[in-house]
Amino acid sequence: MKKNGDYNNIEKILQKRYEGVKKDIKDPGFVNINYAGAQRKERFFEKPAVYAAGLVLVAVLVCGGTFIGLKYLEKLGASRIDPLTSDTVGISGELTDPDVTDTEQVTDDDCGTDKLRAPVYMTVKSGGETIYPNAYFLWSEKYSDGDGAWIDADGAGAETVKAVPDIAFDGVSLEIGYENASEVHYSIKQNEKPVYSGDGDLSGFFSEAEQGVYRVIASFTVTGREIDGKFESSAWECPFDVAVWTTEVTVMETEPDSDNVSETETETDTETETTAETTDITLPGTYKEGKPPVYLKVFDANEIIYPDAWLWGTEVAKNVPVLHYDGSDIDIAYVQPSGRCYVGYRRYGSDEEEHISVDYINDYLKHAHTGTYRFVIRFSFTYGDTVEGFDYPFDVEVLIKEETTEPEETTGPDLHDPETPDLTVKVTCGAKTIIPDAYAAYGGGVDEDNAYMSNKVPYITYVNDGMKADYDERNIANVSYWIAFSDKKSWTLEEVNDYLKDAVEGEYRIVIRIKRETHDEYGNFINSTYDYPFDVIVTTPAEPIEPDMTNGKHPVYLTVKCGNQTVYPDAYFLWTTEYRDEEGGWLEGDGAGAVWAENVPVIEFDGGAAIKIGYKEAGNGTSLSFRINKGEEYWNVSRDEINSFFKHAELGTYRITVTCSVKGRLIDGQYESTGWEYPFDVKIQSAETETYPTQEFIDLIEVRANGEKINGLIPEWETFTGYELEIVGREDILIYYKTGMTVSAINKASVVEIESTVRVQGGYNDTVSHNSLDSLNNAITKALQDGADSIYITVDMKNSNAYAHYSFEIMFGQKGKAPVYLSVAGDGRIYPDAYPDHVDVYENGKTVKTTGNGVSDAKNIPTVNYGEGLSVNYNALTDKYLPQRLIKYELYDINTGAVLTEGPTINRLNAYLESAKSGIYRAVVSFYLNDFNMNDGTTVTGYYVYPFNVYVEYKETSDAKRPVYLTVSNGNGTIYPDGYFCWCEMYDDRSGSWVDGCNGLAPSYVAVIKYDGGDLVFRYDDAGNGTEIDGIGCYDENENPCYPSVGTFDDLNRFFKTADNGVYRVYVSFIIKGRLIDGKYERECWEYPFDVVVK
Amino acid sequence: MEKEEFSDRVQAKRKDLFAAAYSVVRNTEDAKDAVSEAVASVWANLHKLKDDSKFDAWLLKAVYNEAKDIYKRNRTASSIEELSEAFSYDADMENVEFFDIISRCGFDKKTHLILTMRFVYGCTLEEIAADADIPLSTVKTKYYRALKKLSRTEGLK
Repeated sequence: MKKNGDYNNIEKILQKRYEGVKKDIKDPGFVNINYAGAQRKERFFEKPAVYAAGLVLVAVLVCGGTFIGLKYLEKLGASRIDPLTSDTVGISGELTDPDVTDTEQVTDDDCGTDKLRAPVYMTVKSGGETIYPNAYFLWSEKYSDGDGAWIDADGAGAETVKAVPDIAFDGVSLEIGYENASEVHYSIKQNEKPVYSGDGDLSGFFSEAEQGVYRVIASFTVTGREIDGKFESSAWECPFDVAVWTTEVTVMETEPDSDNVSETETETDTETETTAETTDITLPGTYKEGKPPVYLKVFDANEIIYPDAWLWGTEVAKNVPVLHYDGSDIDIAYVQPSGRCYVGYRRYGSDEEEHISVDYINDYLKHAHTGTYRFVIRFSFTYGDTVEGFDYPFDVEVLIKEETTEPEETTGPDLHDPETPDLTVKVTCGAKTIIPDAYAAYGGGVDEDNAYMSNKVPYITYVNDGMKADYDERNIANVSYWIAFSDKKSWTLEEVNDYLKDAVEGEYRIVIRIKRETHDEYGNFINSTYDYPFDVIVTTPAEPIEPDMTNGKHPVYLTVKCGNQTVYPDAYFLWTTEYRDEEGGWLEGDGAGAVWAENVPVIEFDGGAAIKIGYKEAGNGTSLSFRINKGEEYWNVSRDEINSFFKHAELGTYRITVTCSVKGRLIDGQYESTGWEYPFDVKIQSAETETYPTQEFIDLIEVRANGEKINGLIPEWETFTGYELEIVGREDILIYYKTGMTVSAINKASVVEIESTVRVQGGYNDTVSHNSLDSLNNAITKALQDGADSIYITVDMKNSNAYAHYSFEIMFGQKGKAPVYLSVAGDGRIYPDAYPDHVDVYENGKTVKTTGNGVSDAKNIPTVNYGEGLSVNYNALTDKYLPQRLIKYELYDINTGAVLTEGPTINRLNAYLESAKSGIYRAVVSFYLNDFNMNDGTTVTGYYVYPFNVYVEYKETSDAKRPVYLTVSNGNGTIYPDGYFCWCEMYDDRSGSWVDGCNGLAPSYVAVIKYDGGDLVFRYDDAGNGTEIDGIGCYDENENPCYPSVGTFDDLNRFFKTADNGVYRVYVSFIIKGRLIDGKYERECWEYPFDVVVK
Repeated sequence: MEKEEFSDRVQAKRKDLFAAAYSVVRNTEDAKDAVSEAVASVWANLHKLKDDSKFDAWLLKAVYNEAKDIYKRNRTASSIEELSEAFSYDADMENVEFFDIISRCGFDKKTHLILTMRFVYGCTLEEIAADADIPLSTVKTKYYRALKKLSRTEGLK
């Protein structure tokens, strides 16, 4: 794709530039390592010239000119280090270049490996195979120029090996090649028992060895400089395995017990029989690509493949080669390993006969449908009481049948004796036509028990247009169709087409029965009935897709619908994990995914219809995950959560990224997989209030003052639709008290139940429940009389259809400043003052002045505690005064004045403050008033701003302290660090596959504890199916690790005992086990960061 | 790990370590200082290394942090002439300017580390995540954002 091309391009450019940089940059010279640590201030780099001089020096030294050499080195600037006092060991002057790229014996890079490389390059060859064993350091004896002393070092040698290459002995020779080594020695073990030790040619040993696997350890010595008459040297061990197949195979005289072994000789291939009597040992060599013990090839006129041998292991076979069937006969040849062995042919996965022949395979393929078929050649050996066998699986891919427009004439099933058909029938479906053979319908009907279940009938693929049958319609007495095994014996063609149109995927046998009435040349009446069987393959048609296929919707066609809209997001490659048959290894690669997505489709969300995401499965299984990007990223949300999110989201455009994971082949118990990202945008352009459906119930109660309705009172409501509840939230409404204010119901007849609660704010500590509106109004009056500042009222009303919940506050005496009376509630309530911001004041239609500079004029800025979240109330204003709800909420850093977030509702501020650090933040609510009547004969147009401060004291969030509750204590107190998700390995029940989630969030709050000189004490509870400590990380203020990142609580406490003053960030990582599935636990990682202050 | 092996492993990576330090400090002497100090520090703390396979990454991170500290202390703008001192006599001028281009992009430390491990060390993203203890998703995000930024950078063609 274009995007990946761009990404590859820049990556290639960078690689090239970095290579250029590495090539051109001067070698800084060897690092003379200051083993004494920071006490030494000098820098110990040696110039390359010194290194070069070292090489010269060696030559000089070898010639015995020690003194001259030393002087020469000093002259070039090498630092002189007192060998008696220095802890510095340099390696300059060493004979062998430490850049070992010339002698590397492994092809992988350094990262993550601990393989040692020797200065030897060893190869082992046998037959056509070559392996390159790794070398493992055993010991060294070297002269340290810095110390002026000889230093010995020891390694574990081959004892530490993890992966040992193996080679199959070809029965003739085993060649071992090496460079720059001496004192070569071989030790050979079988089943841990020494069987050989020496330095001779190993070919002789293995030629006479019994069957089995032998571990060979080749040891080498490498010689370095000669110093003071003694050579530096190092020893290395190179382990490898040799597999020997015996050539002493006995003739199998009796049938082996195993079901997998051939049972009769009569069914073996002719070629096998002719070679079966051979007693000469024929060693492989003809077909090098095959594997011992039998070198096998499968070929036709155009292609040869060499199946690998698997020890009775077709089920675990990998790299199964494929022969592309071209219609010509295939043949099989092999070199017999020795004597007689038993050969069987098998069609893999078939319940049919196990001991087929090459002829059977060819016959089978001639009539096979398009597809891939696996066959297995099995060789069975007996050694004494043991029966052992090797399977050689290979695939044959049949392609040509699909491309044949005129099908070949097929022979009929054996169970009938076809007569020369007197009528040819052509069946057409889509672009393909087939000509079924005709079979006389003896006895007046087809054989319903088998319904011609031979696979030797032509087939056709069903398409929606349906099938047509074409034949000479003269003299036809009757035509009927039968879908094999259906109870209904006579179908019309239309009925068959209708049936297949909605049929599930599969293969259907159709039989056309045609009865003809004709006369022969003598005028005799002839009544003939023929059956014409054929197969119809029904596949599920692909969903309609956008005709533009150029934008890379591969491999899953994603459809996003909302109401009447449908969009088709493009796919952007994210990652791949695939098995390379050629190399026999796994390959992983990454793409940029949706990072550079262009042409992202947009769909509008109006709050009504839900967003529906559909796709067709691909590969061996497809799974989707979703994330929403809008400032914060929401990862791994579900499809349901997407709709829930948008229902309550603010206006704007949101990016949804669907990550699609497609499984490929199952190899070694692991699926190949590819990941693709499909981005699309969701635009929300409807105001919140527009999502409220009009309900009769909605105006059920009103607040009126002296008969005038107070606007703005809208309930939260729920409707009962079966068992489903739909809930729409709504901010509380603030109403300023006016004389004669009462709460009334406008449709009393529908009210069956009222329950209201009055909670008095400020100085009037009374919470009362009322079961009628009259009682409620009395409470309002009483609160007013008692001097309450405000009362908070909730009213719950029910009838048979719905439930309504109202919440509103009545203010007694207006607080704050006109024209908008703002109330902000958190943990407590404040009434910010209004400050005009360049407001135009009109009087009698003329501008009289412009006033105010907004927040900069503010003198009294109240502070509210954030508590559980902020809510904002203000007196209801009509659109005339507050056009299009022009309200802006902003949050600033009180120190820098930087805007932290802003939005059209308080929600954005709450979202930010919810996870904000402790401290004071500046919030500003702005109203744009239009021609607002100030009740003093003037009108105003412009912004009024209401600044206030918010104090945030950290509290637990929904993400905090989950799922393990960690407690850290010392003499200075106890802290409870929050947990943050880092990654997971979960089983996706729907797709039946394991998925990784590696999307941890950055910590938003970090607890702090002062170090008291003693140990930190940790406590935590188990969660899930078990909790494990993954590691204790610790970093200083410069992010330097206090010790390697995977530590223990003991490591941590040991570190702090001697730690310098400062603040250290500690991470405690927990692994939580989930369900046990397929012998593997689901796992989650959670990190708990906290700071330790050492002072 | 004995001195012998430690020394071998440091020497094998010396040019890469120097290049990594140089990419931060853009000054030959400071880069050498950074490598020397970091190597000494790593040696002093080597007993804390339990996973030998993380040695190279640990060393690289130490060099990085040291280079950052030095850069903070001696923050000076380097001219192209000064930059070229670290390069061989017949170096390609484009390569000399390369660090300057990377520097202009203003990558954070993690991103810088990821790029260096990717290109100087030739690590895969998974290896970077494992060796540098950065979540793989973070590695990927930062890496691809960096590529995106670099793709728009003049001088990289």
